[in-house]
Amino acid sequence: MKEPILRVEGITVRFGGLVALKEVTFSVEEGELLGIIGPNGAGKTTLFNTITGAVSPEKGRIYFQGKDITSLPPHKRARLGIARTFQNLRLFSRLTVEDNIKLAMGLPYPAFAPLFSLPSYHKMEKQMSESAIALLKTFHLYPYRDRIASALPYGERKRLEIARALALKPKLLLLDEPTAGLSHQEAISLMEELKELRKGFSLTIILIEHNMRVVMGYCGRLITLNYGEIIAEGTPEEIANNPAVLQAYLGEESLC
Amino acid sequence: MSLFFQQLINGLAWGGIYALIAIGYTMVYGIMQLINFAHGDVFMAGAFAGYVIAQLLPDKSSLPSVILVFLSAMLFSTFLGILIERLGYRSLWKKNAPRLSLLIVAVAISLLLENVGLMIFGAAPRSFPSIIPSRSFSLGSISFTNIQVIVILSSLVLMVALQLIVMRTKMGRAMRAVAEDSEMSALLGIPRERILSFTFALGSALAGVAGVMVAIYTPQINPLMGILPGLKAFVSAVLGGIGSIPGAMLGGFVLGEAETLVSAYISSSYRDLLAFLILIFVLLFLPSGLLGKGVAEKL
Repeated sequence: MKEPILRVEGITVRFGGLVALKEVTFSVEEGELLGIIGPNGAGKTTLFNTITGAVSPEKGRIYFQGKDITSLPPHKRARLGIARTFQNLRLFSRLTVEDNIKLAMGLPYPAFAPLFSLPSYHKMEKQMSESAIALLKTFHLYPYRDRIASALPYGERKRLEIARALALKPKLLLLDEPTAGLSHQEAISLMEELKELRKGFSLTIILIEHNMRVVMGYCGRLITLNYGEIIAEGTPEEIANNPAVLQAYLGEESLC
Repeated sequence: MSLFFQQLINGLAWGGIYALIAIGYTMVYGIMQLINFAHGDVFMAGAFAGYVIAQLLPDKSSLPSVILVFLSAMLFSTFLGILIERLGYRSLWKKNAPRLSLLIVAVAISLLLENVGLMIFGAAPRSFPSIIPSRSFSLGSISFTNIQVIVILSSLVLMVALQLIVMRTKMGRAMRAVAEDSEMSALLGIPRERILSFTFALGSALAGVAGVMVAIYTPQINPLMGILPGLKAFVSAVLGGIGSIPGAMLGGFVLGEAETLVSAYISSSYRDLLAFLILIFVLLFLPSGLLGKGVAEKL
């Protein structure tokens, strides 16, 4: 069998006395669109933070493409191809739209080349501009490229956040509630775009989502977290009929 | 009226020097929210590096010697700045240590540098070799020296260069990003430690140049010479709006002018008092400074 792109093994995260994640184990196959659901405070965002390296687990290991990344710093994990977006957008609000994209295009960081205007530096900048423009066009953000990020309307900022994550050329994309704050129509069109991108960029996506219509309609497989533990794993249909999941969502008789 | 213009010229030279040092304070603050109190001593170390090299040169006032003195001061203080960041701040910063811990380290490094300076060079002031012989010019009733002109022009050139680096280059873009949200920068693959080092290097290089400028201008140096200009540059950075590079430049010039005008029209004994009065007033009535964005503290 092929090595899964992400393998999380027995991750435990503790904040003081609070156990945020307890022995969480799962893996994600390449090309999958995995949904993570669970009530508020279940540990979904902490799980993302552990995968990106912002939070270090007390126990357990994380493997990305077979490589143990548990002790790698966040920027190295990003370079390996793990990108994420935030629910409450984290754009660089004082930078232009184009600069936000270029920042994620990264390597390398020559300290002196720009000071001496080396031709190699200009060539690199030019290539970067070209691919930034291509990405901006894909996300219908090209007309806004010179604007300061904070001046964009909400929907555009949301798209910019995803475009910026893709500028990293990630293999694994972690989306934290991408459809929050969008109308049903916008949510569906965003998910359709993501579906296209997944093919185009050969992406694996993990999605935290509260919008059950999105989760049920687009995810191939779901994981349910509650109090930091995985309580159910399976296809959307299996999850929707799982008594433990229904109980976790207290009082909700049906998820759809 | 000619006295006034005369004082403006004098103030510009000191203003340029304060501005160059203040940039280092404000850039480091932008990224780490730390007032790097060792910065004034990096400025002192730059002056001494220039002094040591100038002593070794046979023909002190030739153009290559002058360039060599400035370059070696820049290189040495850059090296020192990077060393301070690596050994003093980095591990604390990575652990998200409380700001107070960083501040205590800053004060400790400052004292360390001053005392190492005293150990090596002693407390007695040394006169700096006149690598640029002073010449006076007059324009109407206003007189100025070639040294003042050099100080003012080169500080302006350096500030423009810095602004270009910060606004136009990839490294500068990354600096602005790390200053706004260092965690997010890391998630986009930006090596934020490297960016921090680069920021210290830039700020320290400017402080080193300022050190040699003061050494030529005054013209003497001692291991405690960094304390007062360091504090005044800090005031300049706060006055301009801490975290803002144009603010630090503006604050430096405003303070330089204000100081010389106070010495000229009131009394030179109030010169050093002024900076601290300004600090108190800015903190009380204009905490975000002249060009500060008034951004609410990030929690």
